[in-house]
Amino acid sequence: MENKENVLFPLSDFNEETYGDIKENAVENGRIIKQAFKGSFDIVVKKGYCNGKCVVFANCDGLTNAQRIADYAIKPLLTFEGDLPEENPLDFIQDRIIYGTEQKREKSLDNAIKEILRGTLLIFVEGQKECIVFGAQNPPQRAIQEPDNEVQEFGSREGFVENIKTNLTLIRERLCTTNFKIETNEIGKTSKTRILICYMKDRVNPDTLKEVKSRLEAIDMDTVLASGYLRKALDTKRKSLFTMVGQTQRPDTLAAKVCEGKIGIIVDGTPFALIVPRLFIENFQTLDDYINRPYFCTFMRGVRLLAFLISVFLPGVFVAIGLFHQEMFPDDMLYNIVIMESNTLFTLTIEALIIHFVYETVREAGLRMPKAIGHAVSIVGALVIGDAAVTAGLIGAPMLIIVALTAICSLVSSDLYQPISVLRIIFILVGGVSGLYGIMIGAAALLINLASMTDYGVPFLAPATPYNKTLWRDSVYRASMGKLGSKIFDINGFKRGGRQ
Amino acid sequence: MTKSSVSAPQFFALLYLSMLGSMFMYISSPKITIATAEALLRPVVFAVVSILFALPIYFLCTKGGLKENLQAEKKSKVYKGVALFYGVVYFIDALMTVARFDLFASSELFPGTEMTYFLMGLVAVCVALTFCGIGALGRASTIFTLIVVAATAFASFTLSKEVDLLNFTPLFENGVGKFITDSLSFSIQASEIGAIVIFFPEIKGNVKKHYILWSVLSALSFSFILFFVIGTLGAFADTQLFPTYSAVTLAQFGLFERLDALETAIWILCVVTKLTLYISAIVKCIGFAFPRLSEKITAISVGAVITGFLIFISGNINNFNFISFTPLVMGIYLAPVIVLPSVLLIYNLIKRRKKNEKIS
Repeated sequence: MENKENVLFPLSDFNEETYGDIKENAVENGRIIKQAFKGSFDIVVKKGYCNGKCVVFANCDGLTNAQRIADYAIKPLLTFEGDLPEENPLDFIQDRIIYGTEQKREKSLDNAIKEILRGTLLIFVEGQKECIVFGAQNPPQRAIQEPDNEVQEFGSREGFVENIKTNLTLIRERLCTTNFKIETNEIGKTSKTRILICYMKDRVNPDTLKEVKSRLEAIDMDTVLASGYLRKALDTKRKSLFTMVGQTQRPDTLAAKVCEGKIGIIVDGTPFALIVPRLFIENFQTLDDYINRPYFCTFMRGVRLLAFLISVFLPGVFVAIGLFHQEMFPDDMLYNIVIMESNTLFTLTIEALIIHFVYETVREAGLRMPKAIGHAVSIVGALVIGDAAVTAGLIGAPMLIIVALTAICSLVSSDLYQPISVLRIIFILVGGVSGLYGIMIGAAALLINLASMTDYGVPFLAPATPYNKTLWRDSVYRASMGKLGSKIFDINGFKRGGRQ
Repeated sequence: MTKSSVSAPQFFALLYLSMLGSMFMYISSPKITIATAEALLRPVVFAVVSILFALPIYFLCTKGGLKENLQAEKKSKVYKGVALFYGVVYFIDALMTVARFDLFASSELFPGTEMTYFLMGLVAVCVALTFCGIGALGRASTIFTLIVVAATAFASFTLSKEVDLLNFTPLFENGVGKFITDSLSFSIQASEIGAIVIFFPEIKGNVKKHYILWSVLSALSFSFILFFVIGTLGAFADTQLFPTYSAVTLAQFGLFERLDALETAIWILCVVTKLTLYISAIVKCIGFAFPRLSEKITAISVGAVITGFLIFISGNINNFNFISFTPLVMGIYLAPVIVLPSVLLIYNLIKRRKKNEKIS
């Protein structure tokens, strides 16, 4: 039995009132809706007559297009001069009087009330136990813009917005095929957030699709306000810093991933779509890679991978060599480093931790603070803390250079920033305690942990290990478009008799 | 794909790394001469011996119906006894690996430093990694192999100018008999191959082909490493506790005059792989004998016992003698590779004959 005292907001308290079926009395239906939204000034319930028959309209003012409602539903209905038939008047209204492609009928008043909140107009006709749900959505939304955190040099400038329909349209534009399927679901007891599960019917692995759906259906949450809320359910490997659930703000990226046999999940109210499964190597790929020449793309992917390795290991390796393996430095370099570090107060480990703490703090402040004072923080961070700390002898210049290089490298693969920032600290500590040997043990543990990730039957480190020749053509190395185009990059190669 | 399945190439990459680990931390013995030209031929004997001695395992896996019997004979006392025996053998192997690394670390990496805490950390990491499963270990080992092979090739390249061909004495200078005994002593270090029996149900792919490939590649790698060890150190190699390490300390590249720390750090990948393989094997064996025991608790307990022995061994050089105690080394090679598979093979064949007699 649930102990209510220990639960801050027990879900049972959020159970909604039910209103049963739609009544024959149209005015009564309008009264119930008003009662349900008592105090909400944006819920509009209006009564009218169509050739002497009482008709009640209900909608949410902010979510609907008032002009469209007036022109294509209310005006034609209230100015209709003919006789409504006794049998099936709603069919007649839908077929002959009102105009709109998005129409349906609803018998349950509870569902009808939900439809109001989706931006539709409800039309109740006296004597009918159903109502017409007339699509007139016009929710507030921002314009389609280029995503800030997934900038492409040559690709499309369109990014997802918060509106689920707009997002769907952006993908539809790119995948003109009936094989592109979308399934709708609703998650969140209170928020009732709509989600779309997108996939290519001929390429998705049915088992993976089934697993994704069952995981989503098993979600028991009160509110889902962002796609990130679903990550926990989709990600089974909890004991890892990495995730096999990808995220994108770009419709072209999602379309490309869906074409590879992956599954996209779009959540209403958020411009971030989720993609499952995501491979490790995808963190180093961008859409620009397919526009650039193969040699340059391969080079850039190598640079990104190297940047990742530098951002994770460099501070730890520097600390380890500085404390335990000084003989590895060339003599001149060792001489310079010793001179600069001899003026500082702390050991290399402490120095590295201090600078990283300062860097992460400045970064977090830069992320959350008003943009207007961003420059001031940059100056404080870069000049005052950086320069002054070296001059004051708190930290050494070599360490500052290492951290600066690391910070730049960590931003190359923005999706990996979270694991990078934590791993960096871990390797600094390990390097400071046990030198390169400890770092190598840590690296081995990290790699085995990554190799153990096989969500949805796909190994995270594929196509490197297990090696897959077909998928390897588009990994760190990118083959020419001619070779890539001859066979589709298919993530499910591992499931269909592919190597382990 | 499941957590516990591993492909044949990945499994043998794992064994290959494990063997390289033994080679890197090879302890010279007064009984075996390293600095002779025929040392380069010893790996050939190793390959032949590995293939011949693996015949019981081969027959057990093919004609002995090992895969089916491991399922059917879950309650068999013979199988449980053999599983426990395997567990004990690999426990000793794991202990020898840790002890050898302890000796290596305290005498070469950080001379004079108490390495117990570092090794306790190593054991803890390996115990944690067994939770990831043999599949993850196998997949990771392919990348480890690339790193280790690249590092070894690089070190060899930097050592190439130090090689003196005069260090290679004429072949069979000490007689053929000495060559054979040295070669056999050298060859009985690959007790890992007994792990094929333990993980056979999980290995997917052509085991026979990859086993032969593994034997040949291991032999070639050993010859390659021995060539540079003998070529650079000469007779000096026989006076070194860890001759491979001593050779690597001579490596230099451009501005960098010392690369041994980097090389040995990369060798640690082999130690991690080897130790995790052994602990996984022990956990699997104990799990077979006592199916109700939790794998995690078993792994942690095994790690704790290894750590306990480690604390006892560490700090006194005399306690490390067991690493080179020939009867023990021979025992832990022959038991998992020849004796235990033969016992299972004979048991299976007798049982099958009795079954056939009953039917007829």
